[in-house]
Amino acid sequence: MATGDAITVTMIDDHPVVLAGAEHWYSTADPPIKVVASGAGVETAWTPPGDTAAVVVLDLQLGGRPPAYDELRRLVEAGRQVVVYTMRDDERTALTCMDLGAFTFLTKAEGEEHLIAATAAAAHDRPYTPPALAGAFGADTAPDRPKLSLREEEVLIEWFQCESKELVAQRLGITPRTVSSYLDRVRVKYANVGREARTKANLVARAIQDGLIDVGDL
Amino acid sequence: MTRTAERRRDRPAARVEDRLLRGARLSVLAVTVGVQFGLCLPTFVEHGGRYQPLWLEIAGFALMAGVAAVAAACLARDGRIPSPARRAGLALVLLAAVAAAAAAPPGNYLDRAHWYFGLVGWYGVLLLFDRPLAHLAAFLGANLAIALAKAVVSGPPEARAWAAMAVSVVSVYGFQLALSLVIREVRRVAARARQAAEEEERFRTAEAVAEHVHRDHRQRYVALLGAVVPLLAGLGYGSLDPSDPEVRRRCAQEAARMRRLFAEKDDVADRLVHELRAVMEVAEHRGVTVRFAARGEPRDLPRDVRRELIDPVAAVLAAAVAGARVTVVRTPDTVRVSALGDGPAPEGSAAEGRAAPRLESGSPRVAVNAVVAENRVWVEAVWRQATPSR
Repeated sequence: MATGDAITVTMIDDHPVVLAGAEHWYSTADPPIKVVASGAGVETAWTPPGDTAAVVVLDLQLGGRPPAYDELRRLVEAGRQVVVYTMRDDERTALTCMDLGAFTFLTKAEGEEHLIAATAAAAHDRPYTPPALAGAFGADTAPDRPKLSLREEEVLIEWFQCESKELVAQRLGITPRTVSSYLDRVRVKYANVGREARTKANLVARAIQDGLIDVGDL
Repeated sequence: MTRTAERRRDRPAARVEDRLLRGARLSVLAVTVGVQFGLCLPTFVEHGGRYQPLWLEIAGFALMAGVAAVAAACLARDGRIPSPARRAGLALVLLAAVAAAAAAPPGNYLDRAHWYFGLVGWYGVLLLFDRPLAHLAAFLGANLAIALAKAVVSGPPEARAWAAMAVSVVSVYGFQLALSLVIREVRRVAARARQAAEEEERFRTAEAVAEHVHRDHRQRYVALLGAVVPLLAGLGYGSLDPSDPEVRRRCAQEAARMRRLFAEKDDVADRLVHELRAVMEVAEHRGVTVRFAARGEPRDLPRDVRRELIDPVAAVLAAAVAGARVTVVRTPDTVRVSALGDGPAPEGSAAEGRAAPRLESGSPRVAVNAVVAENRVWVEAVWRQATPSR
């Protein structure tokens, strides 16, 4: 799935500027991430060379059509690791993408740092919860949402508010590492209640393997 | 608000009219029943042996009494007699008159045994209460025709009898028609009273609204007075230097506050976010890039709570130099408004680290806390829904 050591990415976005910008970010990342295919339509992810990339970065809004939920679902069902990368910044979209089995949900406002980190995390099946997604988890009132601890909810909302693990850590009197582990645990809990998909299986398995979460917690 | 206000406005006004008309209707009903049982019944009993057949005369009497009972029930229930009941009542009364006239002894209505003659007119007044006068005249005409038919069938009366009958018609029916005219006047007075009451209610409402608006304006003015006026005065008299960053920060903050006060007047679905946007726009006009995100369903908050949630954000935005992030998170029990800015810490926030939550007086529960680090300031205002145990 990977060419050499580099993480491979297929990027789908209907704005050439976004594709060019992201490609540049990836090329300067350390370790570098290789964009093997990019295009304005989902077919890029289904045809060589895009069909073998480890991660698919998908824009939800393609060519002014309604959000590409169906395309997302098909990619997830085919076992692809999908990072949703979108202009839409609302909890309904974020939670819908999670429900459909996306690996993570990233808004374009969140920028370079999050895109690279999320892509790397996706390639290694490690949870990644950017602030926009954390806010959606924190405000989620669905009856079937996973049970979160008070501290987990607090971390979600404060991470959404300030986008800085250091500030959250300072505020709550914990270390930034602990902040990350709270966020990761929430993501795994969501994956665990979500539909069967490669993302879910791998996230949960990896989390247990890493000691992030106990089988008993789930 | 509008529906209840409208209902409230209509109620006392309509009540004035209702009460007047209901009283007039009940009076007519009382007169009708009084005439039937107080005057007609004794005569009927007195001449009981003269009716042929007696049962028909009794049926006529009972039929009229039945109409009076139904009319009383209608008046008691909704204060008026509905059209179908009125039409049926008029028909039945005429039918009763025909029955009573048929069974009455030969002769004309000058004979006291013809008790129905005047009574039928009272039923006309009762049933045609809110109809035009011509309807009553027609009804009385029909009744007169019945009585005349009876008189002619019994053998044409002599000229003197005709004259006496005419006098009787004029005095009985003329009185009833005149009474109907009086009722019409009462109805007009009632309508005018209702209009006047409505007018007064409208006036009172307008006065209350104006007072409320005025109080609102005064509160806003007071809110600005403490900070804006000294600032403007200082700039005007030259005691404050516009190039001083602190003065500029204060100006930015007051501009944001004024913008928020103006936004409070707007009618929008999500007031909190609307007012926050107003504050953010001011920062954006100063060149600060503001990123905004909201989570959770909009909910209604009292104006004072909104102010206390937004004011700390406005302070951070006023101090911000290049960028800021503003967020709103609404969960079922809390509303949390946060601002992260790159400027110096606004006055009153903690110097560094975790600040002790401060409970604002005057609002149910708005706690403000601030974190200052790495040349960034992060302020959060949290409103918590009062728990039932409180």
